[in-house]
Parts: sequence; C-alpha cells; structure tokens
Amino acid sequence: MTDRYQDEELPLPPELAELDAELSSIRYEERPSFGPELEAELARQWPRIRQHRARRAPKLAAAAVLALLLAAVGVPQARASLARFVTRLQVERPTPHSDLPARRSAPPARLAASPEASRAPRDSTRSEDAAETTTGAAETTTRAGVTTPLENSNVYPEIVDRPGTEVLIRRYYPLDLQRAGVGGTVTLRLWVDSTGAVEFAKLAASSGVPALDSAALRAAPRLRFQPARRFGKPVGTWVQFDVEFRRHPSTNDSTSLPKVTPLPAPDAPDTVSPDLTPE
Amino acid sequence: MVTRRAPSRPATGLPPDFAEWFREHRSTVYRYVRFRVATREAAEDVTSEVFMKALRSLRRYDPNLAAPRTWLLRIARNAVTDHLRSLRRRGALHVSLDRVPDLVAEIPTQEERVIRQERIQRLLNCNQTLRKRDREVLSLRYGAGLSNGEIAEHLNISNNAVAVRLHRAVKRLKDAVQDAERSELAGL
Repeated sequence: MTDRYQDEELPLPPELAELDAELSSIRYEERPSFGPELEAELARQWPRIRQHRARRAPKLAAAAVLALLLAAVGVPQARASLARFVTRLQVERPTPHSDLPARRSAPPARLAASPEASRAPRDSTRSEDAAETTTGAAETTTRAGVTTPLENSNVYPEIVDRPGTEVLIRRYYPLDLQRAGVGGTVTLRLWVDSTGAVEFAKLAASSGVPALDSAALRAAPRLRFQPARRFGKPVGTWVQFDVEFRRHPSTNDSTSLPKVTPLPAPDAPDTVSPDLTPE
Repeated sequence: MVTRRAPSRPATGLPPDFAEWFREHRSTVYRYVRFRVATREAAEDVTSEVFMKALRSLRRYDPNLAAPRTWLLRIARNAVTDHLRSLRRRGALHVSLDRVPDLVAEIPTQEERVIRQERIQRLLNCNQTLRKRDREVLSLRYGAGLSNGEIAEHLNISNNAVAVRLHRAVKRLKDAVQDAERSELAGL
C-alpha cells in the first residue's frame, strides 16, 4: 500500500490536511480467519460454477434456435421465406402421383389469387388443366367452391364473397374521384395466411392516382380468401391481386374484381422471380 | 521446443490467475467496501459477494480492458451500491457507535478510544450524505488506499482531475462534518 502521508500526488491545502490525516489513520481490522474462509468457500463453489456453465451452453443454443424459429413464424417476410424453403424441400421429394408433374413443381410464391393466373400458359401438361378454367371469373369461382383438392395438388386462394368484396372495394373508392370519373387499376401483392386473412399488403403497381392506391391498400386487410392448400393443408402464400376502380361503369358497380395479371411461370429460374421483400 | 503450460488448477482448487488476484487484492477490496458499509459483517458479506461474482464472470474478464484490481473494484462498487440500496429500503443506512470498533484498533486508552469511535462514526455518516462521485473518490483514496495515479487509472481520468475531485470531496466532507457538529450543539 502506498504511504498516504508522504504522497506527493495529493496537494491538499493545510486546512484540509487534518481531515486527510484523520481519514488516513482509519485502520481496517479484518478478521484473521476471513481470508482463508472465503478462499475455501470460493474453491468449494468453483466446480459447481463450471458445471453450471457446461449445462447452460446447450440450453442457450436450444433457446437461440427456438427464438429464431419463433421469429421466422412471427414475421411475415421471414415466414414467407421459410414457407418457400419448406415447400421446395417438399417439392423435391418424390410422390406417388407422378401424373401431376406441373402441379408439384409450382412454387407457392407464384400461386395466383385469381383464375386468370391459372389460365396463363405454362407447359403442355398445365395447359390441359388450364383449359377447364378459361371460361371466366364466375365459372372459376364456382369451381373453387366445389373442387375437392387432390392430395398432392395446389389450390390457389380465391375470394370468398365476390359480390361482398365488390361492395367493400366500392366503399373505399373516394367519392370525389368517382364524381370526377377518375378510375384505374391498382395491383397489390398480398400475403394470404393459412386462415385466408390478408396479413400483409404492398403496392405492386400503381394506378397513377395516389388516392386510388391508398384506397386499395386500406381495403386490402379486409379482403377474405379461401386459403391456398398444398397437399391438402392450408398454407400462407403471396398473391398478386388487381383492384380496378372503373371510370365508366357499365352497370351500377363502380368496381371490378379481380383483374389479374399472371405471375411468372412456376418453372422460371429463381433469378427472375419477383422480389417479395416488403419495401 | 515444446513448452508445457502450468497445470490449470492449483492446490487451492481455484483457477490460478484468480487465486493470485484473490491473495493480492482481497485486502484492497475489503478496505474499499469497509469504508462504505456500516459494519464489519456487512463488509465481509459484500466482499464475499464481490469475489463470488468475479469467479462466476471470470470468462468474461478481458485483460486488455482493465487491470484485475480495477475489475474487482468495479464489481465491488456495484456490490456496495446494491447493498446500500437494500439498506436504504429498510432505512438502516447510518453507522451506529458500537459498530466501528474494528476501525480504531490502535488507541491505548478507553476514553480516547470512545472519542475516536464517535469521530469515525460521524465521518462515515457524513460520507454517506455526499454525492456519489465524492463518495467514490474518497473510498478509493481512504478506503482502498490507492494513490492518485491508481485512482486516475481506475476512473479513467487524469491525475490532475483526481487531485481536483479529491480536494473538493474532502472539502465537502469537512463542511458536512462541521454542519453535523453544529446541529448536535444546537440540539444540546
């Protein structure tokens, strides 16, 4: 210990020197047995501490993996990636229904929300299938209502209540734009979860009228779909969905649902797949 | 040439570095703690807690960031803060006269011994009323017995800053003691 009385580093003035000396003169009497007792106690505890550390490491790793999985399930974007990954694993697995190659190879991210997406020419096998659904929206809606999904087939999301949805969209059509005869088509990209609810929506293509884009985005969370099904199980998926606000309605309806732009073919390379990352 | 490292566990059962730090710095840590807590028993408890915490977090210690004594004194500062916080909840911060005999060991007569105990009791009680920053520098200086240079290293400030801080702390302590004495006289 340094000699505090002779410490030249402490230039305390004379009026404080007395207190300094008084404080410095305090003696600290440790119990003679305190040091050895404490050392023995520490030595006794040390093996337990080391064992505790060894036990804790696997638990921490398991907790980290669990947290990552929860995050992947809880965050829509991460869940979409996880769904793509799991689906790709399932697609690569051989199935007994070898007569449905095109259905098995379709990645879920490219499932279409509407019948027209399934009308898009993809390959020869698919086009036969698609021929059944080329008769228009109403017919396809009916088909979605009555078709029992094959065990290994994909079922695409369908609007549950088409007239009700049209009324819903009309409610969001800004009145001033209706009066001014301003219309347009807004293309949305929606994440439809396994219950059919829209969990996440973003603008894929603007109508050119910000108010219409905003109206479509506000209406999106209220849309209800039949969820997509893969191997008979409901799954979440991204869909592209066009909302058309008609400028010159031929009937009383001011909206038209849906006008669908087909998504890229399912067998297209990953490099040209749409970027599903939310902005 | 192949060199062998020393065995990882010495006879005491503690990690070798830690055992060395314990023997070297236990007294410093104890004195630092004793300056700030009311009783010898509390000082022993807090010192035990300090070394137990240090042992538990031994793997996290980085010698590039702090010297062992600085690391131990930081743990001690936090442990003392926790201890005082728990006492404050119970309203038992003040040092009573019968609890400081270990601090006045070298007084020959009983009368002088009692006077000295009263004086130390007042100093320690007044120390508790100072600002945290003043208490810290006084504890390091008069408790742990560090030099200005060592305090500067511990607090990561310059020697001059330590001298200034210490000067102000001692002056505030003196004022606090004088105020306490005046209050006692007025009370009589």
